[in-house]
Amino acid sequence: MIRYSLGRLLGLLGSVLIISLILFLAVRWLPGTPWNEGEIPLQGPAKENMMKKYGLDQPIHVQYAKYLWNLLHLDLGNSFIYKTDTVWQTIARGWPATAKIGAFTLLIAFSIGIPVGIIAALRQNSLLDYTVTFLATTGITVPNFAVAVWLVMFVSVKMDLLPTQGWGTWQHIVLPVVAYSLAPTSLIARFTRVSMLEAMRSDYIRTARAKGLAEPVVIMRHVFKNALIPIITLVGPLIPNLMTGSIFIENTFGVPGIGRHFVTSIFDRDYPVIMGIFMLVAVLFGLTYFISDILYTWADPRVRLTDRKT
Amino acid sequence: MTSLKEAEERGQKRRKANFMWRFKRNKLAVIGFCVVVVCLFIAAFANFLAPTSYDVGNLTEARQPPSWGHIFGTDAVGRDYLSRIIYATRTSIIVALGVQVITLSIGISLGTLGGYLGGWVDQVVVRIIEIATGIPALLIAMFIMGLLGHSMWNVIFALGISGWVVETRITRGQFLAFKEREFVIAAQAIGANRFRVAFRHIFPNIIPILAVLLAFQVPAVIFNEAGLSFLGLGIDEPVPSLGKMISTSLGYVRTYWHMGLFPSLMIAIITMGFTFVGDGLRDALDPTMNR
Repeated sequence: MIRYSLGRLLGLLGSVLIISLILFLAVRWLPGTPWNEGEIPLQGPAKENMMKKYGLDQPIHVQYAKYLWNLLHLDLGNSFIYKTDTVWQTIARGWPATAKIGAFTLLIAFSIGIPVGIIAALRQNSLLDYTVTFLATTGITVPNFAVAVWLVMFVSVKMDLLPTQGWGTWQHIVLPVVAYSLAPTSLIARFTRVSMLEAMRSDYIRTARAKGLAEPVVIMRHVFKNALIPIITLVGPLIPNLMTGSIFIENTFGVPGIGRHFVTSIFDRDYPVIMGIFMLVAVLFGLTYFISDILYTWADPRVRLTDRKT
Repeated sequence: MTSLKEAEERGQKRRKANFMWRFKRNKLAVIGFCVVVVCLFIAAFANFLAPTSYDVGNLTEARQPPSWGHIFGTDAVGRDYLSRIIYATRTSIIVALGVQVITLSIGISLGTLGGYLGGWVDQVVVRIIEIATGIPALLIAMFIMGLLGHSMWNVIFALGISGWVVETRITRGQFLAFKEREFVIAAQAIGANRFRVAFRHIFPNIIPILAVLLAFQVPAVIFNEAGLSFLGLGIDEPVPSLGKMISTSLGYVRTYWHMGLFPSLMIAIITMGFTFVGDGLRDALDPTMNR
């Protein structure tokens, strides 16, 4: 187990390293410079000075080595655009809003998705089951920005209940969370349902019933616990996804989150911020995949983690 | 020999009939199929179906609500909204199919290499998959769009280059599973070369799964294309895109409801159609899975 974990973490480190190299080269490929030269092109010496100030005049391998060295000290550098900010501060400005929406979304997705999935599975092929399946499929499919537009149209404009855009009070959180949680809730409901049905058909459930266990015990202790296993694999990647936020949702509702910073950083050619957000997301994703694999062995002792076999 | 061939043909026919029967029994799948056919029809014949071209504007008729002259109204520069939506559907479909060509080519080649050859080749493929999983595809696509500039072909390229992970993983997994099967070993035993075994014997068995995947990936790509355009990183004017129409409409949401409603409904209908077909295909191919 420990050997396996170490191997995985080392592999993650390798991946992050490769990602950082590819990105570093790609970021410098982006046409244009961070100094908004579209409107006022910088003259020769001025540009040289700027390049020098930000270390962009050095050969690219030196720049990359420096970046890695700083990365090793968890230093992501300074933003080129918000000149008084470190990249960490830029991320820290966006993250709370994103995380707030992500956390509520996660909460809703689980607390609604799992029970709905269970109920649908218990009433398989009933009208309720069909309704849930249909709604869940719809919820997964319809793009969240389309849902967002409908919410704005009906809840904000027609009924005038909640603000269309902005950030600060609790009213601003409701619509983004509703629009954003529709897909993950549906996904979890559908997955729970299928997973429950699969578990219900297995031999050990027949055994549990045969030995006379009460139905609630069979469902919760035997079926649900086993149905949980595949859900873990689904949820793992879902968490960083939600916590990094939906750029569309943030854009629609004017949420000052990390997604918006990412988009502006691309438009602004703010190299360190682009890199910083990418690296953070890569590490976050890698770690959650790793953790969900570990959790998997805990939930299903039959699975042994040995060598990497995707 | 002929009797054997006949038996095989009969078997194939029966499997096909079985498949059709199961697919047809699923009402949603049939509805989805009809929606998909209609969408493809709209995309193919956009220039005949649309009342006007997508880039003809009349400023005196700007921002009109739906009327008999313009069934879906007009946009901010007076272009017929119905025509715009018809052409935007074409954009969505072209992008979705174009991206599939790229992702499937990359996915099938990498997956086949890794899954069938195994050994160090597979190690490399697994590594590549792992690295590509590390970053959300959409972020990469956004980045590439920043690099290349905004056009439909660039969108196809960006989404294709960033979106092949699932295809690769599934192809690889299937090859791993089929490699050990008797008919493959038999084919190898009678001396068929690797290429022939991989593409004549194993690959046809994978096609159904890839078809299901395709049906699910198309709406995902349509979503992402609309998303890129929604953020202003997608297709430039005057070519219409549903995502761009939705994002533009947000500025007018208090006064002109039709500008947001129609494109968002359209994109919902398209993506749902494909997903229902995907569900139906999967269930019809694999009756043991319960919906």
